[in-house]
Amino acid sequence: MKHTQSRAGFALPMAIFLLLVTTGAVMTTLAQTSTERRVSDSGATGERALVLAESGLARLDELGFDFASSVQDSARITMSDGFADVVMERVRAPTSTERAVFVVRARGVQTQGGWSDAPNAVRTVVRLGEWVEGTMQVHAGWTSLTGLRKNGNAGSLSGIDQCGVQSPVAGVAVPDSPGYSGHSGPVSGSPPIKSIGSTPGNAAAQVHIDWAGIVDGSALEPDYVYPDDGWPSDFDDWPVIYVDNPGSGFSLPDSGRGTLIVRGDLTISGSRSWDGIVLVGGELTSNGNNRVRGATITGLNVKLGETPGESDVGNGNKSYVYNSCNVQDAMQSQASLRILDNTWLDTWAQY
Amino acid sequence: MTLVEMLVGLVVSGIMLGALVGLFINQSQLTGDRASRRVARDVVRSGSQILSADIRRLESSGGVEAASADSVTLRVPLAIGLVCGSSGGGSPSTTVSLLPTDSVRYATAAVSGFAWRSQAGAYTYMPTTGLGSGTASTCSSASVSTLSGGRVVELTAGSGAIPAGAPALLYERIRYAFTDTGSGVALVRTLVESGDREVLVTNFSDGGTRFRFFVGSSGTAQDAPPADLSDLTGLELVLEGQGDRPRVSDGAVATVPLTVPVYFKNQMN
Repeated sequence: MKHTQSRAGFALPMAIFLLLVTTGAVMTTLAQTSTERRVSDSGATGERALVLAESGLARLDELGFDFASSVQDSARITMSDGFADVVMERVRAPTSTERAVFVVRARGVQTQGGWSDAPNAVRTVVRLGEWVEGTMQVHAGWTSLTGLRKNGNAGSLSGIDQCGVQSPVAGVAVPDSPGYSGHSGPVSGSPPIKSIGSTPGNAAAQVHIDWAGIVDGSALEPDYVYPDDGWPSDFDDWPVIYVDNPGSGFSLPDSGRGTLIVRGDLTISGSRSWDGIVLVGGELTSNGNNRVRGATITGLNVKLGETPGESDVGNGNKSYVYNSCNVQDAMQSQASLRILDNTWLDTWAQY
Repeated sequence: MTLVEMLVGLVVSGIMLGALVGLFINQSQLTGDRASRRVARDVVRSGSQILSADIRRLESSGGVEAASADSVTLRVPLAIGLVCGSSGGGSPSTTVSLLPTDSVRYATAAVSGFAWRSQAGAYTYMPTTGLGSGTASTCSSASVSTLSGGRVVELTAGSGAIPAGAPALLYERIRYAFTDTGSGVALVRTLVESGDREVLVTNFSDGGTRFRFFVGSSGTAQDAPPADLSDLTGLELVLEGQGDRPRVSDGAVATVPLTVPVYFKNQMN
């Protein structure tokens, strides 16, 4: 006989119970893992915010803050996973003997990569910096550590400030030997010809330019290194150009302005002109009716123990004159905020 | 239901209940082990975060006052500012304009003195616990501006050789030590000036937790601190957290190792 009445069993309740237990265990494990990931991610995003803040400080140069005339400025740098708000504030005004001091701070905010309901990670770092104005000691319109030879009586080698701001300097500054030779008629200044020592070595000690540092790149960061970077196409910002031609000659390809630094010899031909500063390691040979308005120093390789030749100004209406405004404009492009070592801190008030 | 059916049902039920109990026990052990490992991870993570923040701020020439494998005494910078004026003699004092500083951090600090920075970048430490409000006019006459949120303080130490405008750090001396508590090693912080002692993290394993030392430009930490602590450029935190219960399977306590190099941010380049 067949039973049609249903009979109670325990397989189904047992299976359901087992499923509940397993689900509970899995849920507990997931919750624990999730909590730990949040804690771990919280630390990681905090570190990332710190990196963003540090990146903000490192990119200070890109922000174009006017440290020369502003006392406060700010900018935001947006990055792939957040941003950095960079603020500069002057905390000490410049005095006649002291430079202006600024505090620069960057607040890094991590906006990506964290949990959706978690607040953004924020870190602020601070450093101090001082505004270093570009300055240059000018002995003369043309200072040559290895003497200067002038052919003909035309042209001008003048230490009288063409800009009319500063007191006159010498027209030419040279050592006693080799000194200045040739016609002295084109030379004017106070005095027209100045001795800066008996020998090129003595003269080198009087010219306070860190030529070795410039040559090895530690003292100055050029805007252009020729020939690697090519010749600049615009000179609006008074660029610093370093011509890397040790032991060979370089002919000025075009007129321009800024700071022209030539490791070897320099030739200026035709009617080309330069406004600003010309620093030459070797000798400068001038052909044609060219001119430099600013300050010229040649023979600087003496500072490296080398023996460059005497600079030579040929016949023609050449003009090498002191112009303090052009010198200042050229140096201004070299002014910068020097971040002070040992002034990092991350305890800036967050609110 | 027949007797046979009942016996079969009891046997099957017994087997299934046994399996379930086994599952419960295994699950419980697994959860316990996992929780224990999580405790161990929390231990090393917390220790690393607490120590890293303070060590990173240190100034290399004088930031570490004493060091050994299980403890370090640090001069932790608390706030930075500019010196407005300083004088030595019988009643030395230095006025400093501080930049805005985290208020909680400042309020809970036990200031141990200040260090001023020379033009060349080296710091000179001037210990003093005398700290009070300074005179704003001292700063304005030195062309030093006090920013919104900043404060002018006066410390009872000074020298006529400290120039106005020199950067200065307020610091507090903090001793961090890995101390054996009997049931494990704890990270203990002591504010040296006040003597306040606080157990920050417990459950480090004995022997696996210590400080190691970066000296000069070496990228490899050494076990012993250098004779001249100003040669230090960073500390390596060798941490090993342990769980809060032994594993059932082998009776051992889970451990989680973590090695974190932390370099001082304030170094002469």
